[in-house]
Amino acid sequence: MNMTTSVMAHSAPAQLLLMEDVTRRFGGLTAVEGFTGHVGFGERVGLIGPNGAGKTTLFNLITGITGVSSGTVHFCGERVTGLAPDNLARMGVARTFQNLRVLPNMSVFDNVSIGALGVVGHSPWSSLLGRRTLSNRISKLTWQALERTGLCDQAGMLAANLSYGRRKYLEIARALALQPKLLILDEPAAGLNDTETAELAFFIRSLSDQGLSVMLVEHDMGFVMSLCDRIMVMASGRKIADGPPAHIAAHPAVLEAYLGTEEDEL
Amino acid sequence: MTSKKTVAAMLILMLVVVPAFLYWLNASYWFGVAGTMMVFAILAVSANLITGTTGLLSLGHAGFYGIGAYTAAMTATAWHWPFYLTIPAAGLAAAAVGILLALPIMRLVGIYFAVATLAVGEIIHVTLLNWVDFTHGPMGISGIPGIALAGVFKSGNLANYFAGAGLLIATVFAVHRLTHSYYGNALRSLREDDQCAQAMGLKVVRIKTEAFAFSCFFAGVAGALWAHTTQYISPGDFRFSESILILAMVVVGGLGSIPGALIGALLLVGLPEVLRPFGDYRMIGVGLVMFLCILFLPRGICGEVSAMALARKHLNAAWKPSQQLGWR
Repeated sequence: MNMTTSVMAHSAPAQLLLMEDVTRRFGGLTAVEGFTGHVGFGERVGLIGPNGAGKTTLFNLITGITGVSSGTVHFCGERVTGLAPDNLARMGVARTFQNLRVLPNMSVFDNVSIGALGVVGHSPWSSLLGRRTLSNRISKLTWQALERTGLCDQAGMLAANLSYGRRKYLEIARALALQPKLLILDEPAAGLNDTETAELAFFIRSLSDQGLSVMLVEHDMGFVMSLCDRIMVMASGRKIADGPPAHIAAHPAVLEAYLGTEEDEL
Repeated sequence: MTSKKTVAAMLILMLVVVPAFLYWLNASYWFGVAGTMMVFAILAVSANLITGTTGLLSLGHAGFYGIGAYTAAMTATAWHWPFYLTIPAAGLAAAAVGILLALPIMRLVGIYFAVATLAVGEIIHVTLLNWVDFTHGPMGISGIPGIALAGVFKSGNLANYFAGAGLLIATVFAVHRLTHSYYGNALRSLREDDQCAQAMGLKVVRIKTEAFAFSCFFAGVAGALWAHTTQYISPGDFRFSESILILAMVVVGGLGSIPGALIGALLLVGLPEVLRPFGDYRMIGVGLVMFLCILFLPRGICGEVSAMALARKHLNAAWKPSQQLGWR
């Protein structure tokens, strides 16, 4: 295992994100156990599973918000296990949150500029001296992200006054401003109606057509099945299936995890 | 509030009308009040940077104010440094202490950070009080030279007034530059949700330390101004009650707003003076104004966020058992 890992790190990476035997324990509870999986370049990967399966914990492990108990994570061929979230974000892992975490007392533009700030960098001295170099780059990236998400008209609005659906796009815009290689979406369609969900699927597809890899957790099966190239299924912290949507829909372990076994029904 | 005409009018009022009026009245007492107002305005603006904009509740601001004052007083009396050296030295000393303290305490979350800064403020006060060989202890330092430049101007009411005005304008300008830029957005994002900001690539601890250092720098500058204008300082000037007074100015004015901090300082220094005819009852009046501000102006006079909401967030973080207590 170690041999292959070190070889992977030095040659051109085959996968954008590679998780090997990743485990996370919280006290006596094992939230994620021996998870091995990958996300390829330009791929749209779905992560599904019953409530409490460890999907959000896995996202937190990938983005560095929680540290792994054991196992390794590689991003772009580099070992990133144990890196802080801000490091990972600057390397190109951008995320949205399950319960929207827009910055309510700031404008839409300022919200998105945080992502741009993360990737461009920040210095009190450049602000103090009124230098324009950093701020010009930040404002360019911010407008680009607003344009991609169609939020230009609402740029001056306070984020708290934005409708729920638009806030979802705001979070995506903020992540896009980071110029990510991998976009991680935690339940992007939750709380959206059918039309909005369809629009969102179309939008995510357009992002991945531009070369962005997307990984998402979602409970709306229709959304995941139609959007994703590949689906990983988790149950009780373990990966129980991995494959294209058609394969997953017919997978006996998946049906068991969601519907229970035939004996259970009796 | 921030239009160019308003700023120009305020500057004319502050640099021409008020000093001319006070000079014409020959009112030394009111020059003193104006000087105190400007010292506290600098303190309120600097406290606003860390508490209002960055959202870190600092209860030890008077400590850094004291470090600045003692640095200026000692370099001026022992080494005869002129004010144009003591003032930056005071700021740098306060900022240096701030950075050293930030290293351990900046990882504390919410109310734990507030308690740590409270302790820091008390440590500084007790040190100033008891390190008699170095600080003269409770006797304080007297005979601090006033603000004067040989051959150009002598120390006096007008020199003090314009030194205060100049430093206040410089502070407001610098803090405005810091907060009304992308860097300011970074600071505000820490106030709103620092975990989210970190997930967006911001170096959270570093930015907090920088903001704290700048805040301490201007507190130190205010201390130097206080030392040179009153010409006598003692540890009693830099107690916890001063930290609370500064915080009250920020809250009454409104978190995150520079005009708010200025109005807060003007009100809370000016009100007790105006109400002086009422004797000790005046403090009831001051308390009433603060109470009404919190009750009817939850965001202060012109703040960005509600003070209660920020306090609640800090306390929540401490009470929620699911979060890792105290550390992030």
